[in-house]
Amino acid sequence: MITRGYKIFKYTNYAFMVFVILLTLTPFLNVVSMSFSSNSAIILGEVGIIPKGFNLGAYKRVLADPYFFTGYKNTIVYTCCSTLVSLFMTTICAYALSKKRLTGRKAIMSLIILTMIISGGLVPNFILIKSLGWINKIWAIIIPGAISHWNLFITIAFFQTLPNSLEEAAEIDGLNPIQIFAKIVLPLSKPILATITLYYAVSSWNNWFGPWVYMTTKDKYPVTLYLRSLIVGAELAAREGDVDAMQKAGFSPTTIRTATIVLVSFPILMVYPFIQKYFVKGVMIGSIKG
Amino acid sequence: MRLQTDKKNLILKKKYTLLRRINKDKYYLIMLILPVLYFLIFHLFPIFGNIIAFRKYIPGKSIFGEKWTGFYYFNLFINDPTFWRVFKNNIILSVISLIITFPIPVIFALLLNEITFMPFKRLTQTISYLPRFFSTVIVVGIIVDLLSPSTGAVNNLLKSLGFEPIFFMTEPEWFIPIYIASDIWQFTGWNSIIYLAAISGINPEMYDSASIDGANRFQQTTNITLPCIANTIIVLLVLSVGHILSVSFEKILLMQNPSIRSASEVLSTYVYRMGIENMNYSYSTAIGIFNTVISFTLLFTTNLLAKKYSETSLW
Amino acid sequence: MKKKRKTLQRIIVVFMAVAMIAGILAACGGGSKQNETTTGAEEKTTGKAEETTVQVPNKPSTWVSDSKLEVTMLFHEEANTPYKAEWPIWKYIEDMTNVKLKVQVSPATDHINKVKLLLSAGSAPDIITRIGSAGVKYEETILDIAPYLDKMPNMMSAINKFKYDIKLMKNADGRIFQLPQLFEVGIQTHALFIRSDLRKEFGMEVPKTVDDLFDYMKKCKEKYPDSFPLSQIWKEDHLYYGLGPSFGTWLGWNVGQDQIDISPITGEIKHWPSSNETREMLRYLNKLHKNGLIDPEFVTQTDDAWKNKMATNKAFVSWHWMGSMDDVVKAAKEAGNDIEFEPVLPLDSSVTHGWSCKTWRGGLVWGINAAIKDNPRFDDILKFIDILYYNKEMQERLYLGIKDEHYTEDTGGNLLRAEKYDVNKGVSSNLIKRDFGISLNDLNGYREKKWAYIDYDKRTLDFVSALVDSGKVTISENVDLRSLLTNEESERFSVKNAPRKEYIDSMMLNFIFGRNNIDNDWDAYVKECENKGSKELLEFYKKKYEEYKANQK
Repeated sequence: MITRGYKIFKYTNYAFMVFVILLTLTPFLNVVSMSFSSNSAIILGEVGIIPKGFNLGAYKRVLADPYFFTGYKNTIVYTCCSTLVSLFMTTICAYALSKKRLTGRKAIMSLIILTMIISGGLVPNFILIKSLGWINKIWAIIIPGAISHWNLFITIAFFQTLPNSLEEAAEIDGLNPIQIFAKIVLPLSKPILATITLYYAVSSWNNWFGPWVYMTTKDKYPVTLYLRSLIVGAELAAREGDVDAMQKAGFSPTTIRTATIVLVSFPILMVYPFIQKYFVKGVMIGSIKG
Repeated sequence: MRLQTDKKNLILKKKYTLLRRINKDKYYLIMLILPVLYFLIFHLFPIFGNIIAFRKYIPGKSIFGEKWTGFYYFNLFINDPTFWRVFKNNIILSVISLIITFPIPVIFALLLNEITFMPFKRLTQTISYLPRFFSTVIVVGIIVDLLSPSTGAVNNLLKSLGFEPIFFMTEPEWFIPIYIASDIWQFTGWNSIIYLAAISGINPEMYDSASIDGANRFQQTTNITLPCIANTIIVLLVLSVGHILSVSFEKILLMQNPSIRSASEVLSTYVYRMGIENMNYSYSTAIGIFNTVISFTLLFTTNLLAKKYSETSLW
Repeated sequence: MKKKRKTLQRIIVVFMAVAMIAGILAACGGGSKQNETTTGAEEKTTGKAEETTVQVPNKPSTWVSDSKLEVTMLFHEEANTPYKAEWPIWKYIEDMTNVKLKVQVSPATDHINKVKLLLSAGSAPDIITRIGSAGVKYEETILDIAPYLDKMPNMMSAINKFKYDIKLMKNADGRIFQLPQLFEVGIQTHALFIRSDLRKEFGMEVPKTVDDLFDYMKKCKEKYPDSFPLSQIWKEDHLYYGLGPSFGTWLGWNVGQDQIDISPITGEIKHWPSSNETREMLRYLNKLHKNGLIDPEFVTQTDDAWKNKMATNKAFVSWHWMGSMDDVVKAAKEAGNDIEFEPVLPLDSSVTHGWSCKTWRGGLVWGINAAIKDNPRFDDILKFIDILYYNKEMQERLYLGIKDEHYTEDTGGNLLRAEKYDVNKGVSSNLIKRDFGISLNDLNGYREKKWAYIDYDKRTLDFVSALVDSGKVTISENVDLRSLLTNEESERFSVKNAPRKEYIDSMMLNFIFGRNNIDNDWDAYVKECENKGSKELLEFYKKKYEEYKANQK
C-alpha cells in the first residue's frame, strides 16, 4: 500500500520536522546559554547555543531574593487551584450545553456569546471584585477567569462528537445524566481534558495581570509578575532616564533576565510531555466495544 | 365561557410542557446553575460599565459617569480621518493574519500525524511549542537582532549572496510579513495541540477499514482525518473570525518606529498614542463598542455560513 | 412517585429562580456598595484612633501623634531594587513618627496604570508615589494642597531654603496637586561619550563644537571604514534629547505629546519640530548620514546590539548616562581591546551656545488621595506626610541611613558612604538600596547639596562640576505647560495630536536619511505641520500661558 510517492513525502516530512525543531529550539537554547554566560561574553556577541565564560552569578542573584520563592509558591498554588476550578466549571457547562435539545439552551448560549464579545473593562471588574471583598484574596484570581469562552466552545464541540449510542445505553441501565457524565463521558474525553488542562494551566501560570490588579501585598504576587518587572522594567528604567537604575548593577540585565526566564518557564514546559500520553489514538475503542 | 376555559387550558398546558421539559432536563440544568451564575456575575454584570461611552466621566467621580453625552465620543472618532486609516490598517493586518496563520497549525498537526516514529513525534511536538513561552518583549528583541542590517543573521546571509542589506524593521512593506512570520513561529506548535487532540480522538478502526478499501495515506487524510476534526476546525474558525480585530497590541507597539508607523498603526496602538485614555475611559470604551459591533456582525455571519455549509456551528 | 416528581420540579424551579435573583442581587449590591466606597470614607484602616495612647519619654521632633495611626502608601518599585518588608527604613519611620506606614507595592512597569485604576475605582491608598507627569489629569481624585500649606511647615521651609518658587508649582487655577521633590541642586549625568583613546591617537582636542565632533567621527570612519561612529539606542527620542540642546531645540524625552514647550534658556514657547533650530539639527544629522557617520539602526536596535558595537570598534560616540559605558569597557578589555570613554561637555553649534539636556532638580512627585479629607485624622495624616517627605531628620535617615553605619562624615564636612557601599570602590549604588531601602528615589523629597553627591563616583562628580563651571547646565524651573490645560481642552487636542506627531516623527527621519531634502521640502513640511494643527495649538498654549502668568501676579 505504501507508494513511492508516499515514501518521498515521508522523508521530506521528517526533514521538515527537523527544520522545525532547529527553528524553535535554537532561540530557546540561546536564552538558556546566555543565562549561564558572563556579561562580557554577551556584549561581545560570543554566546551562541553554548555558554561562554560559564557563570552562575545570575542564578545566585535571582535565587537570593526571598520574594522569588514566595512568588514561585504563589504561582504554583494559583495555577493548581485555577486549573481545577476551571476544569470542573468548563466540563459541566460544556456537557450540559452539548445537548442541543436542552430547555433554555438558547438563552444560556446567548448569554455566553454576548459576554464573549463584550467585556466590561477593567474598572467595573475591579469594583465587582472589591464589593465581593475579594481584594488580596486568592478567589479574585481563581474565579473571574474560571471559564474561558474558547475552551468552553472547544469542549462543547468535542462532546458533540461523542456517539449518542453510549449514553442511550447507559440511560437504559438507569444512570442519570450526572452519573453518565462522570462515569462514561469523562473517561472517554481524555484528549480534550488534557488539552484544556494544558491551556488553563499555561494561561494561569503566565497570568500576571489578574494578580497585578487584585493583589495588594507583595507576598501574594506570583513569580510571573516578578519576571515581568525584570524583563520590561530594565527597558523602562533606561527609557525613563533613571540613572540609578541604569548604573552598573554588577550583572548585565540580560543574564539576570534570561536566568529568570529559564527558572520561571521550566516547570510549565514540563507539563506538556506529561500530558502527551493522553493523546494516544483509540481511547474510544475499548469503551465502545465494552 | 368555553373560550376562556380553553385559553386557560392552553396556558396550563404550556406551563405543564415547560415544567415537563425542565423536569426532563433537570440534571443538565443543575449542572448549569454554577456556570450560569458565573457568567451572570463575572461577565454580564461588568458589561454595564460600557455605559461610560455615552456619558462624561470625571476622575474621582462615579465610574458610570456624571452626565449623558450621547454619541459625542463616537462622533469624535467617526469624524476623524486618521481613525479610518488606522481601522483599515487593522482590518488588513487581521485578515491577512487570519488567512495565513489559521490553516498552518492544522497542516502542521496533519504532518505531525504522519510521523510514525513515536519518540521523534513527541519530541517535535514538545519543542515546537517552546516559543509560546517567550514573552513579547523577548520575541521582538530576537526579531530585531535577527533582522539587523549590520549584525543580523538574515542580512549576513543576503550580504554573502551578494545582495544589499535590507532594513527590515524600517521598511513599511516588511511590517506585515514580519508580524505574521513571528506569529507563525511563536504559535504554530501551540495552536496545533488542539488538532492533535482531536486527531487522537478518531477511531483507528476507520483507518483500518479504509486501507482495506484501498485508500492511500493521502486519501485517508482527506477522507477520514479532516472530516473528523472538521468540527474543531470550524469552531475555532468562527471564534477567530469573531476576534478578528484583536491584534497583539504589545508586539506592534514594540515593533513600531516612525518609519513604519503609517503602515503599522492599529486601533489599540492609536488609542494608546493619542494619550486620551489618561483617565478618560469614555473614548476608549466607545471604540471598544465599535469593535464589538463589528465582531458581532462577523461572528453571526460566519456562524450562519458554518451552519449552512456544515453540520457544526458555534451555537 | 408522581407527587414526588412534581415536588422535585418545583424545587428545581424555585432553586433556579433564587439562584438567578441572587446573582442579580449580588451584581446590583456590588454597584450600590461601590457608590459608598467612592465617597471616600472607606479607607478603613487609616486614621482609626486607638483608645490607649502610648507614653514615650523622649519624643523625637518628628513625632506625629501619641495615638496609633496607620497611613497607606502605593510604592513605586524599581526592578533593580525590589521592595522588601525587612528593610530597616520601615522601622525607622515607625520609630520616629509613631505612625505605621502600610505599603502596597506597585512594580515600575505598570505603575501609572495601577495608579489610574486605583484612583478610578476609589481604592487608592493615602499616599501615591511617582504620580506621573502633569499631562495626566487626576483632578478630583488627588488632594489640592494649596489650602493646607500652613499644615506643611517642613515643605514650606524646604521651599524657602532651596529657593523654589511656590508659584511655579501651582496649576492654572492656583491648585497644587503634586508634592514635588525639593532638592538643593540638580545633577545632570546625561552626556555625550566619545572614545578618548582614539581621540588621543588622532592627536585631537576634546570636541567643543558639533563640527569638531564631525571631524573626530570622520577620523574614526577613516580608521574603521566598516563602522558607524555615532550609535544610539532607545529610538530617535534619545538622539534628539541628547543633540537637540546643542542647536537650542528641545525635543525627544521630556517634551511630551504636543511637542510644544518653553525653552529653558530663552523662555520662548515654540512648536519645536518645525523650528529653525530643529532644521539645523536635522541638516547636521543628514550630513552625518551622507558621510556614513551615523548608525541607521538607532531607531530600532536593542541594548545588547548597541553594547556590542561600542565594544568592538563598530561605534565610538553615543549619548548616554554616566557609568553605563563601564560594562562595555570591561567586555572590550576582556577581548583584548583596551578602550576608554570620556564624557564631553555640551557642544556648541553655529546656531547657539550648547546646552545640556533638559532636567529638573528633582522630577518625581507624590500625590495625596483626596479621600483623606474626610478622614477624622486628616491633620495628623497631613502632618505625617509633611514629616515623612520633607523633614530634614526623617529624610536624613531615609536617604543617608545611620551615621557611621551607612555613611561617614570627613573632617571637611563631606559625606561618604561606608566602605562596603562606596561607589568609588566599584560597588553598585544600588546595593545600599537593595539591602536597606536607603536612598530610594521615591521616598526622597528633601535633598541637601552635600547629600546629593554621596552615591556618585568621582569621575561623575568631576564631570558634573565641570558642567556647572561651564555654565552650560540646564535645570528647568518652568511650569509644565500641559498642566495648564483643562481635561476638555487636552481631550479636544489629543485627537489631532496623534496624526501630527506621526507625520512629524516620520518626516524628521526622512530629512535625516535624505529621503526628503531639507532645503527644498522644509517649507512644505512646516506648512503641513500647521495644517495638522501645530499653529493653532501653539497659539492656544501661548494664550494659556499668558493667562497663567497674569494670574500669578
